[in-house]
Amino acid sequence: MSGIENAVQDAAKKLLAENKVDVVIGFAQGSQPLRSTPAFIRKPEEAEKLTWNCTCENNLANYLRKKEQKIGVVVKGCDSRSILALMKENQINRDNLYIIGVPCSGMIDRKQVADLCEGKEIIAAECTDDALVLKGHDFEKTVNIVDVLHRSCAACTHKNPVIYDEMVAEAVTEQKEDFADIEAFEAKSTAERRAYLSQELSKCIRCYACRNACPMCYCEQCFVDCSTPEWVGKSASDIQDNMLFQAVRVFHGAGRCTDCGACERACPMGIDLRILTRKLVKDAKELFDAEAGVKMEDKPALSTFESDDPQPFLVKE
Amino acid sequence: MLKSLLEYMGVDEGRVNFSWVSASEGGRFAELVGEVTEKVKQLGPNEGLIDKKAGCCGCQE
Repeated sequence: MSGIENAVQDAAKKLLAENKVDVVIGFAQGSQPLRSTPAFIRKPEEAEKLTWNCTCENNLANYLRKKEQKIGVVVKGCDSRSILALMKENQINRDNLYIIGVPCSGMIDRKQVADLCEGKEIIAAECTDDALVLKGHDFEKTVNIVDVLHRSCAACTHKNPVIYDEMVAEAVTEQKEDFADIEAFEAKSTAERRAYLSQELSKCIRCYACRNACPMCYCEQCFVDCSTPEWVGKSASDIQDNMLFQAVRVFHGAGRCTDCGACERACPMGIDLRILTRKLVKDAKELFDAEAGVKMEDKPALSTFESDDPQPFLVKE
Repeated sequence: MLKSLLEYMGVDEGRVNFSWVSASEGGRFAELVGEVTEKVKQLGPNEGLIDKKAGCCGCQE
């Protein structure tokens, strides 16, 4: 890991020293162990603040839309897919962007780590290539990173950035797409699916962190914030409204969602949101053979029409 | 994809219907609407996305 960290710092330092960019967006150590925070580095001497480890989970593509200044950005595979998807939607000007690509082997889920430590306070943590050393007041524990990965990272199919100006390390091996989880959920009865989703969404507090964390959610006025007309009830106590909110939020990402998992990672209530987003990723793949944010020349799945597009939704006659 | 998502989320199968009908095909439109109305009548009133009998979150009220 430290090799990548040094390479990221060097790349940032060079970019800033040569005045190629105005700011480098990367990660810095957060105020707590196992926390990284997005960092905005403007001077070459600040570049040493940049870190790279298994807690750099935010999707930095969120900071790149409609920016005038020249930006250097440190990206993982998922961030790069979001960047590519946003470039296609004319939200990012590639000429103003310098992409420092980092092959990513997955980020850890702090909730799983906390469970493994039985809720005991972690006062220090150290990430190595494949293990995590946790220290508390009266314990020390080593866990394998692969055992505590975020679900989106464990299922990731694009660990290596799909677009970059510079790659700071060797590419890692990719794995195949597997929709077994969604297929299993589809196979359940309507009542079972309803029951599971209403239980999950009963936890929703309508903080809209999922919306804000999503790089693809950028409407200037979101339908949930409208009051005239009020498209959806604002109270989190009505589960049907929570479901409607998620249905619309998820559907806005149809054919655009890159399954980066930022929504689920941002959720403070631990709601299983990828059960919804991945359904649409799977549908887009199956119906239109479309994968968001992978190739610049691919047309957006729902903005193009071909006369031979499948139409399984039509009333059967 | 919308129909597929809604049915996945628990809207009764057959409650969401789509078709292409040209403005000049009045007869076909009436026929389709008739069919859909019949189908929805068979499904009965829409109970919404959550099972009210089972309480808000699957708990028994």
